[in-house]
This record gives sequence, C-alpha cells and structure tokens, in this order.
Amino acid sequence: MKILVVDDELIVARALSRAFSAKGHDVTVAHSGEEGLEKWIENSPDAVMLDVVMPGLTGPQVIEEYKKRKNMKTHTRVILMTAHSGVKGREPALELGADDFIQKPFENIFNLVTRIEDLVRSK
Amino acid sequence: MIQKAKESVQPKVLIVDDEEAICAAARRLLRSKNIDCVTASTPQEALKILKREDCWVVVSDYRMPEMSGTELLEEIKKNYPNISRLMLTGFLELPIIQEAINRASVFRFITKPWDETELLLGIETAIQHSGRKRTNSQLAHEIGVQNQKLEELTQNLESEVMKRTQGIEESRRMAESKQKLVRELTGFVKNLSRVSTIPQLYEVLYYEMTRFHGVSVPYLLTFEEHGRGRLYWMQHENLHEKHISSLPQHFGSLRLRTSSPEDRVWWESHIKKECRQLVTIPIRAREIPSSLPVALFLVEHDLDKGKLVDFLERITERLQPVSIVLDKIMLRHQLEIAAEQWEATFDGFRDPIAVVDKEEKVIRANKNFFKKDQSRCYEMFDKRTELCIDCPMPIAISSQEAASGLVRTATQKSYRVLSYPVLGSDQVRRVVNHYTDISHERDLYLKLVQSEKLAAVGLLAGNIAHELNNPLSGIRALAQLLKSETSPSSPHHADLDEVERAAIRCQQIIKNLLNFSEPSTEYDENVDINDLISITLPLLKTNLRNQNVHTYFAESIEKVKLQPSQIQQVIFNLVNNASQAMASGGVLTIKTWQEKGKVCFSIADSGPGIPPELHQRIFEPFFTTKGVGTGTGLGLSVSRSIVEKFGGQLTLESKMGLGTVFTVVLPSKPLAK
Repeated sequence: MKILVVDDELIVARALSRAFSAKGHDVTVAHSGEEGLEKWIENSPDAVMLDVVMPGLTGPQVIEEYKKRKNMKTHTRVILMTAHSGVKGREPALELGADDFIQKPFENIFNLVTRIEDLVRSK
Repeated sequence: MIQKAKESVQPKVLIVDDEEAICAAARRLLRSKNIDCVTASTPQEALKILKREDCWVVVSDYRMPEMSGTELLEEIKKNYPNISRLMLTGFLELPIIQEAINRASVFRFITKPWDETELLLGIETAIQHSGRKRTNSQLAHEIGVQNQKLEELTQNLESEVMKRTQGIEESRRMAESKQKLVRELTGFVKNLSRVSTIPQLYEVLYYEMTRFHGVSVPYLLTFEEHGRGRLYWMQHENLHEKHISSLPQHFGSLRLRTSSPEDRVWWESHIKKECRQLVTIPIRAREIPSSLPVALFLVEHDLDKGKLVDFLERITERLQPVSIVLDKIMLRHQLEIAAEQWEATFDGFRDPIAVVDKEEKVIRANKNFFKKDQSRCYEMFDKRTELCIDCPMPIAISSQEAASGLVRTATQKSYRVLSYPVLGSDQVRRVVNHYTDISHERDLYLKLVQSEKLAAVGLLAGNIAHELNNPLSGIRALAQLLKSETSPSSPHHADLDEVERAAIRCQQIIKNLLNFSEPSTEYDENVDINDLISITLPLLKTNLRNQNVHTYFAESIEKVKLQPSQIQQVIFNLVNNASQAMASGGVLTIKTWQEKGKVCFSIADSGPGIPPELHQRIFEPFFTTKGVGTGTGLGLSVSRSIVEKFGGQLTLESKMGLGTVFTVVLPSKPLAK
C-alpha cells in the first residue's frame, strides 16, 4: 500500500511512517500542506494521513486544492487527523471531503494502522 | 419827727424876737459877719421857717406872747435836736435858766442888750456845736443805715447758705438714686449676659420683677412655629413650663398695654386663677423696632398709677437687653436644631463619612465611621499608622478636585473612597471622605475576573492542547513502536513503558485543562472518595519521596456522583502543592470523613504556611508563589472550579510555621445540572 503522511509535527510524521513501514507499506512523508499536495499528485497514494492544522495550506485546503487540480474524484483514501479540540467526530471531517477522521493523540498506533489498512481495502 | 427842710451846707441862723428892732439889729450884725440869717417875730412863724429851711442855730427871745422862748426851744429840741439853741433874755433869773436848760437844753444865754462880740461868739460857738451835732447825727444815721444793710446782708447770707445746702443735698440724693438705678441696670445686664436658655432668662427676669414691690410672679410666653408657644413661670420656687398649642393671633402684633380684658381672659384661662391687674409687654427681635414680638411678658400687679409708670419705665429700660438675649437664645436654638438635623442626616447615611483636615485629623464623622479615641482618619478607619494605601485624599488636596480611590482594610473589606475637598479662600481647608463598602461588589468583580481568566485559560488550553497533543501522539506512538521491537525482558522495555505512561499522564492533564473551556463529555459516576484517593496517590509516588504520608479514611462513606478524573486532578494538584510546600521533608496527612449530606476530604502539609493576605489570591488563575517552571498558577483555581462545578467547596486553613490544610467538601447528593 502506498501511504502519504502529511504532518508538520516531525515526531508524529516519523511515528506514523515507522508504524506503516513496519507493516511493509510504502510510506512517503511530507511536512507541509504544499509538500503534501505535491506528493499526493505525484505519487497517487492509496491513503493520505493528513493533519488538519498546519502552517500554510491546512488539511482541508489540501483536499480542496487536490480536487480542484485533478477535477475528479480520487481513489485515494483521505484520513484527517487533528489534535485540535475544535474539530470533532467523523461527520464534519466527511463534509470536508475526507474518508475518515482520527483524533490525536492516538490511543494505540498499531490499532490505527490496522484501521487504515481496513479502510483502504474496503475500497 | 416833722418833715425835714432841705439840709443846707451853709450855716443858717434863725432869730426869733417879737421886737422887730432886735431882729433887724441881729440881722444886720450877722450879715455883716457873712452869717446867713433869717428872723421870725413869733414862735409859730419860727416853727414854720424851720419846716422850710434848715437852720443850724436858733436864737430866741425868752419873753414872747403866746409861747415862751423855753417852750419854743423845747419844741425845737424835740423836733430838731441838731439845732443849737440860744436864748436872749433881759434878765437872768435862775429859775428861768434852770427851766430852760432842763426843758430845752439851751446851749447859751445871752443878755439883752447884747454885747456884739458876746453875741457873735455865742452864735459861732453854737454854729460849731450844731455842726458837730449834725456831723454826729449824720454819722449816726449812716452807721444806722450801714447796720441795717449789714443786718440784711447777714440775713440774706444765711438763707442763701441754707438754699445752697439744700440744693447740694438734693443733687447728691439724685445722683445717688441715679447711681443706684445704673448699678441695678448694670447688674441686670450682667446677669443677662450669663443667660443662654429661656428658663435662665426667665429666672433673671423673675428676680428683677419681684424686687419691685406690688408686682407678682411674672410669666414669660415665647412664640414658636405654627402659632405655638411656651409659657414659663415660677411657682413654689420651681420653674414651670407649659406648652401652648395655639396662641391668639393678636399676640403676634401686640404693643405694650395694661389691663387688656382680652389678655386677661386668655391669661386666666391658662393660669387657672383670677387676675388682679395685668401688664402685657411684647419683646421684639433685636435691632428691628418694627418687627413682630418674639415673646410676651405678662405681669400681674396691684400698683397704683404712679407706681405703674415707674414700673413700666424700669421695664422699658430693660427691654432692649432682654431682646438681645432672647434673640441670642433663639439664634442658638435654631443653630442647635440645624446642627441636630445635619447630624441626623449625616448619621442616617449607611456609609461611613468623615470630615478630615489636612493633617488627616478627623474633625467630624458620622456614626458609621468607626469612632474610637484616635484622632487620625486612618487610625480610626483601619487601625493603621499611616494613610491607607490608595487613599485619594492627597490627590483631592493637591488637585483641589474630588478624587476617588479603592482602599482595602485589614479585615479584607474593600471601600470605594471619594474625597471631596472643601475650599477655603484659595486653598483646601478640609476634605470630606465618603466610604462605600464595595466588598460584595468587589468579590463579585473578582469572581467575574476569575471566570474571565478561566475562560481565557480555556481558550488558551484549546490551543495549547493542540500544540501538546501533537508531539505527545508522536512520543506515545514511538514508544509503542519501540516497545514492540524490544524484548519484554530488556531494561529498555520498562523505560519505554515509563515514557508511554508519562505521555498518557500529559494527555490526561491536557484533557482536564480542556474540560474548563468545553462541556465535559465524561459522564458522572458514583465514586467512593476513599478509592479515588487510593488509586491517585501511587501516581504521585515520585513527588512524595521525601515526605511521610498518613491517610485516615472514614470507615464507611457515601458515594459521590462526579467525574472521577476531575476530582483525581484536584487530589493530584493539592498533594502536589503540599509536597512542594515541604520539599525538604514533612508529613502529608490525608483524611476523609462524612458529614450530614456531605463527603469531605482534607490534605494537610506541615510546611511553612500561607500568609493571610494571600489566602484569597492563591485561588486566582496564574497566581503562583512557586519558582519559574515549577507551577503554572492554574492548579488551585482549576481545582476550585472543579469542586464548585460539583456543588462543593474548597477552602484552606493555614497557620504560619505550622502548615496548611486544604479541605474539599462535596455534597453526597449532587446539584441538578
């Protein structure tokens, strides 16, 4: 599976990257919205782990930009992640064009990886 | 004495002889000698001549018809004693001579026919004799006149002296009586000058009046507002006073009058006895003769008309000083009333008010300004030794404008102080300080500030949470990953466990912080406080490595409906504070107990204690006494709002040098949310 991790918090990006890699997935990491958008277009990953609050383009803006440029629906599963208390639950995240929503901090990283794998496979 | 002829200075001689020849001869002889001479042929003629002319000497013949020479000369002697008398006689018979001398005091006898020389000598001697007699008689007369005058003078002098003496006596008496009157008046005025009340005035008037015989006890009626009055009189040596609810209207414009039936009726109705004669004397306000009377003086008497005039004169003389005194008393009375009204108004204020001079000495203060023996405002107000902090008085004095400030007392009360400067000519003479207790408002305000601060904390927490949760996610995830890659028997495995636990705790703290800003999603549970403390204490193991922990749990305790993680947070904060308060060692005592409807626990340290002035402040958000990096200044404020959220109370009790006890009281039946 090709996974793109977009998070400005280095340790989060690194942890996710290590967790997915450990399960044998192909992980690409981006540290900003702009970089994430570029790598999303470039790599067409199966899933994008996209942080909501980032300097520059935010997660939802990245989704919007991506759809604007491709002008079509993508096969990529988009998972929005946030530590911010202002965004809660799945519903608002889906409205923003995401397929799933994950509240930081993660309870268990292994469960998270399994959940994303299931999501991609359910496609 | 017969009518006197005009006195002649020239001596004149009368010759009386019935023989014309003799008369002529004598005439001739005397004229030749320049002696004035008249002649008479009968005694009657001679007497006629004497009536007409002043003759010095009469020479008479002895023998004449109708009347003898002796008889004529006797007559002449009787009527003209100063005339020297000579007798011509032809024969000198002794009995004739004797008779002539005895009866007529004949000066000399001349015989006929006369010897011219003898005759002339006789006549000249007689002239001299008569002259002497004349002079003597003149002198005697003058002496008599002088004597008479002297006598008159003496008499006049005596009466004059008597008159004068009487005059002096009279004026001395008058002066004395005047002096007495003046003395009495002076004494009266002197007595008046000591008078400061109406009863005292009455007393002075009473003694003055009763000295006048025939005058009874006087009555003084003073006028008050709304047609009321007050009557004063002396009875059995006691002063009586009576309130009169309604005075006759004419009293207000009354002039001095005697025996007015109208006044008499009124007087009798109030005194309840029959009146003899009555004088009504109005007393007017000072300096305004036309003004209306302010009091009446009623005097009963049995004086006759003369005495009454004296009495009235005496009274009138005294009315002016009485007016002045009455005026003074009334002014004073009005001042007293005004002062009383002001004082009552002043005291009516619920707020303390003080009039203070520039040296901070209290001149006047109302009842609610704490009255003590001290003189300075700050001593009285807050038992201070210098001006209250933030007292606006110095600003009011320097700016000459009202100033306000907020003063906190030692008893933790808050006052808004308004200082109003009172300006004298061009500088502030004193200041009126008005204190409003705003402790309650201040508390509300502080609570509002606290809640505002908490709201800010909440907002801040939201942002911080994101910032912290992000790296914590990474830390926790990495720890999990690394753990999965190490053998459970490896020491790294345990280390990574510790890392993950710390991360979890951090996440929990952040979660609690978030609870202030947003409605909690956690559900209330029925919690046993003993259990909750028991599972929380191990989390603080590392914080309490230097302290002895004693726990005293109530044997059975009601469960409390609350969110356990939040109360855990409170326990965590309080224990953490306690351990920091006795960093170098001490005893931490945790107790739980049950009161009626309440579940309580306390956390006590044996630290240095918290100064009283900080007891309130330590609950304020961001207030901290700890060093940089040790405290956030949120622990106690967060704890208190958690406890209050569940309807409970968090209080503290602290004694310097002995330690501090924080007590949490929670209702066992929670408030309906």
